[in-house]
Formats: sequence, structure tokens, C-alpha cells
Amino acid sequence: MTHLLTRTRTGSGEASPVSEPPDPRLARFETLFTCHHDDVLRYVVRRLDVREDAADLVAETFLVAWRRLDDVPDKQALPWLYGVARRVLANHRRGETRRHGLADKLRDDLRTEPPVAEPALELQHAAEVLRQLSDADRELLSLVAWEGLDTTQLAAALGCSRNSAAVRLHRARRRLERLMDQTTTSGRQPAAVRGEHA
Amino acid sequence: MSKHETLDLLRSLDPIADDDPAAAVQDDSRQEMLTRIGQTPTPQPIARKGAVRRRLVPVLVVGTVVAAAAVLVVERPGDARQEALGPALSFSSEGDYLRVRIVDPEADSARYNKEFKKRHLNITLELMPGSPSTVGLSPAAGFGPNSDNIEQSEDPAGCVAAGTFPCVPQFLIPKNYSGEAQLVISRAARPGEDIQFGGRIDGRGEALQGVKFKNMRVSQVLAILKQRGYTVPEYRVTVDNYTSSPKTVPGTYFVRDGFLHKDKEVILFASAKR
Repeated sequence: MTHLLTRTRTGSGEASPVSEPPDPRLARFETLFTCHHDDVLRYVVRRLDVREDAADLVAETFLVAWRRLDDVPDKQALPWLYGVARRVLANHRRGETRRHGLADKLRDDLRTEPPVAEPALELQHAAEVLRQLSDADRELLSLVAWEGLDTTQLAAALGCSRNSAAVRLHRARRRLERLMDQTTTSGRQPAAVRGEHA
Repeated sequence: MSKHETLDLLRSLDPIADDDPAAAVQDDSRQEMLTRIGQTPTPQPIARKGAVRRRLVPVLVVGTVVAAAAVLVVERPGDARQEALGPALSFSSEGDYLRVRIVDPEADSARYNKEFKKRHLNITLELMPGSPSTVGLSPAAGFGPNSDNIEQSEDPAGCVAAGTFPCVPQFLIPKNYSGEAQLVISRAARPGEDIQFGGRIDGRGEALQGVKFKNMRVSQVLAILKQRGYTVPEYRVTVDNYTSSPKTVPGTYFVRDGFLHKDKEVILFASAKR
């Protein structure tokens, strides 16, 4: 892998690009960023109404990862990043996101509006039911269905034990299924259900 | 409905199933972010923090003797920046929780961390350079397992969204909290330092505060910025979904947006058409 960070720094005139060995910290971060940037971007975009807002949240997530590089687990780096992104997203929803100068190019790339297609009736129903779940349940189910996490990865993303993640996922799925059944048989809109809260 | 049917149904709700946002991202954009994050300062090594603490001890002793002084301003050895050494944090007990307020956003982060440590909390606070309207706010937080129990808010409520001042970050932390967390506070940038947290360019104390800059000509905005002591080393111009970063643009271009790049440097988004 080409180390962009190392190359940029050595190219600034501080040292010879040939004689200076790559900084292992920079190299590790570059690997982390290169491997997972797009997955983190998808995670954030899936949970936002305005796509270009994702630029600042992706930047924030990787900024935290850079500053806490020693804490990033080798085996579960992506779920760990999802965990950081989840917290960053929560701050964003409280209106606490700041604009990052380092995300301006990405913001421009994301500025195009994606096409909006009308979903099939069954999917509209499922989407409505998903909205009725608590934030925590919805996040659990989304991490499994959209990000494709297994229980071990889910535990890393949520910062809990594997058993706890499995139990929480099981309960969330049951609440979803119960709601789906209720609304299918009664034809009525469900009331918001109690669930685990973030 | 079986487990697999439920998950299949949810998969079909994936908002980006037919439109991958990563496909729109140019290599330059990834590289810029990667490079700039890699150039940001990392947390200080523990040994250096210890050195700072040792330097601060005599100052704190003096501060105790002169107890009547609410704020003591000193020059930190090896650092030209002056530090205000008042109580950095306010702690108040609320049932099973501890409410922590960032009273003095200009204080040395070592002081914050000392106060957390005194209360046996594995929480660190760091200061990072931000644009004027973000100073004192908490725009980021890192966290360890179970730190979801920490609630972050601001006083008065809604001041971040409204952009009003004062706006004091506060955290509600369970008294038995045993996890770790890393909270970040935005501080004023030093000369030449890259801004890590940028507010709206027309926000409080920002380069274009009070200016309705959107769709003004670049030449007009440049004149205002010059009057206020700012320079524009670079622009962002997007044409056909491609963004370039020219050093200059025609003065007849229109300004769309901007952000503070360093303490006295602004980058403007500009376009040929209104």
C-alpha cells in the first residue's frame, strides 16, 4: 500500500522521501482510513436526511480514530468505527456538528441529490414499522441488516458483551416482528412501542 | 415471520441499496481528508503531561495562598500562551449523577483531567483549535465501552443550535461510571494553526459576522475580509461535479460559502454564476 500521509509529509521538505522510514502510526491510520472510509460513509448516509452532512460526520469519526489510534482494536476496527460514528451522529442530531475544513471536498462530492423512488407497498409498511421502534432497536437491526454485522461485531460496535448483543438483538427482532404482525392483522397504525433506548 | 424473512425485509429497506454514496467520492477527496487528519496534533504523550503537571504545582500552591483571587493568569514555561487558572470545571451532585460543566474553556486541559482524576473518573478532556463561534463548545467526543451512559447537553438548552452566547457544555455522568471517555472542547486557534472545528463563517465572532455574503461578488467579500485582517489563500470552485482549489478567482465570481482555515485565513466557495 502507498502511504499517502507519509509521502505528503516527507514531500514537504522536512526530510528526504527516500531515507525516512514510514511512521508506523501514520501507516496504521492510513490503512484504517483506506479500508473503512467508504463503509463509514455509507453508515452515516443511511442515517441522514441530507447526504452532504455526512462529510463532516465522516471527518469527525476518523478524527476521533486518529486521536485514539491506540484504542482501535485490530480485529474489530470497523465495528469500533461504527460505534464512534454512532456517537458522532447522536451529537449531530442534537445540533452539535461543526463544519470541518478537512471535509470540504467530500461535502462537494456528496452534494448531488440521489434519485428518490417510491417503495413497494409492503416496504412502505415495513419502513413505517421500523420508524415506530425505539432508536436503540432500530440501530441494532440496521447494523445487522444494512451493515451486515454478526453478533461479535455488533458487540464491538455497541461496546457490550457478545451475549448481551445477542439478547438485545433477539428482543429487538421480536418487537419488530410483533409490530409487523399487529399492523398486518389490524390494518391500523401501531402505537410507538417500548424498547431499549439509546 | 421467520428470522431470515425479517432481516431480508429490512435489507430491502436499505436507503442506499441502489445509490452507493461512495461511488460519488473522488480519490482527491479521500486523500485530502486523510492527509489533513494525519496532520492534526495527536494527544500528548503521558510523560509530557506529567511535565506540565509538575510545572503547574507551584502555581497552584500560590493560587491557594492567594485564595481571594478568582482567576490567576500566569505564563506557562515553554509556551507563550497565557492560561487562566480558575476552577476549570464545576461539579454538582444530582442523585446518582454528577453534573460537570465546562466553566473555563481556556484552561489547560491538564487541569480538567486532574479534576476528573480526583473524582476517580477515567475521563479526559482535550482542547482543539476551533473558529471563534465554536470556542468553549464540545463538538466531539470519543468513548469506551458503556460510555453511552454519559449525557451531553448545553446550558442554556438549545444555545448551540441558536448560536447564542454564553453556551456552556455540560455532561451528566453516573457516579459509579467506570468506563473511559474522551471529551473535546474547542479552543481559540493560535496564529498559523489549522482550525479543526469550524462554525458558520457569518457566526458570532467569525470572519464574516453580520455580512450577507451569499451571492456577493468575490471582490466585495475580499474587501470586507481585508478590512477585518483576513486573507484568502485558496478558493473552492465546483464545475460539473468537479471541485478545484485555485489560489485566485476572478473578482466577478459569486461567493457561495466559506470557512475559517487558520486563525486569519478564510477559504471561500465561489462560482461563476449566481
